[in-house]
Amino acid sequence: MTKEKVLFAGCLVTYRFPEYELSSKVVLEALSIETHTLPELVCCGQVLQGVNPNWIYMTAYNLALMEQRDMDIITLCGGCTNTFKRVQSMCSQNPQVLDDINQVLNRVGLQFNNTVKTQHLLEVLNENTDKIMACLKKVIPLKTAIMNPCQVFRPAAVMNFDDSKHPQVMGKLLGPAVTDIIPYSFQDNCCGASLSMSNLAAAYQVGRARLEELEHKDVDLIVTACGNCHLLLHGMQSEYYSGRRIPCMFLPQLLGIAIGLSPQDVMINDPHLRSLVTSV
Amino acid sequence: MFESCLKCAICYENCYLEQMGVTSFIRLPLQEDATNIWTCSNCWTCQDICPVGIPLMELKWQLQRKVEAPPSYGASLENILICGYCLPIDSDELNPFRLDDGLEPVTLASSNIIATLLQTK
Ligand code: SF4
Ligand code: SF4
Repeated sequence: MTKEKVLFAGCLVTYRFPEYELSSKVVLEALSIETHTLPELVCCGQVLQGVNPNWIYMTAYNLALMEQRDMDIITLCGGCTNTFKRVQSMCSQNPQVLDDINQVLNRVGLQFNNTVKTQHLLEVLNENTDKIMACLKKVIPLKTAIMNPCQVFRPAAVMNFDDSKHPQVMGKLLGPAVTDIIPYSFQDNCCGASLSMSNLAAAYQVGRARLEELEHKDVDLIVTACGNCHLLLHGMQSEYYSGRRIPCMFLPQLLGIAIGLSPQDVMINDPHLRSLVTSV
Repeated sequence: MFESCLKCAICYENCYLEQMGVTSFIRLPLQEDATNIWTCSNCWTCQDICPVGIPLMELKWQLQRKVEAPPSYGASLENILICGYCLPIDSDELNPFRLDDGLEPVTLASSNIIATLLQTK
């Protein structure tokens, strides 16, 4: 029997992008994968790495809480995926790390055995590609650009998924669902969103360069698979970009439409986005 | 810290920020001074491509922890100590929306747990 899954939304998606969490949940349901949230989860720890050396205990606390319920983890952002998998890798490579972690976790009544499995949404969808393709109901007539969540793929030795320099999975999943996937030169570059915490001008510069290229290529839609990428490209777009507004959507929203779910089902509330995906 | 560094500049040449003219943390192996250590988006390209496997990200975080962080990191830590998340999530405020949307409610961890984990008390 496959284990039950926790859909780990993390800070940004919980706070800002319920449409990503919900559309992931319903698309996974359509593939017969049931997901839940758990009480008392916390930040994955990613943001604290350069600030507090004890970030690793926050990561491990989440992992232990999910392991305790005998549930595997599906993450939605690159950062959460990256910290979970890296801490798990540190624990399996060095038993001392696991011991240290358990000394702290014992104080909050938890124990971590490193038996839980973490996968980003893209990995789960990738494993279910055949099922998804069998469910496709329509081809959405959109010129689509892909925004790869880089921390899902790198460091390659730990993340161990797809081509770490030129990820293929989003194109593979969306290729049959839309009329065109438009390749572009920035496709394999980081979105730059996390720079908004330390160097806003640089974050804007990175975002602007991508949008300028995509406008030039006449792209209709950018598809994301991480809250951070979505924040910079969608949430902050008007702060740094004065060209034609380029709409953004989370991958499970678009995929949901392609497998016959309604815009309400995948929480496409924006009237412009709705008209884009229903003009079939 | 960079004893085995070859000064080959492969990391630097492959940093997308440097390619765009943004001075990033990755000057460090070449210049060995710690300017711009916060200008990096953790894309891991430099570390993955380094031919001698220098743990660039870990070195960066170690250096970052020695200096004062940009204010937004302080705000994130404050939020975490209050609600467990790096953004100010208030479950009473959020949960009615979540239930409306068809999502399960969020239950916050106690601030004692967070403080114990981060060993701030
Ligand atoms: S991890 Fe940072 S320094 Fe390294 S390539 Fe990416 S942005 Fe540049
Ligand atoms: S790629 Fe590695 S060896 Fe070459 S300069 Fe950068 S850190 Fe040094």
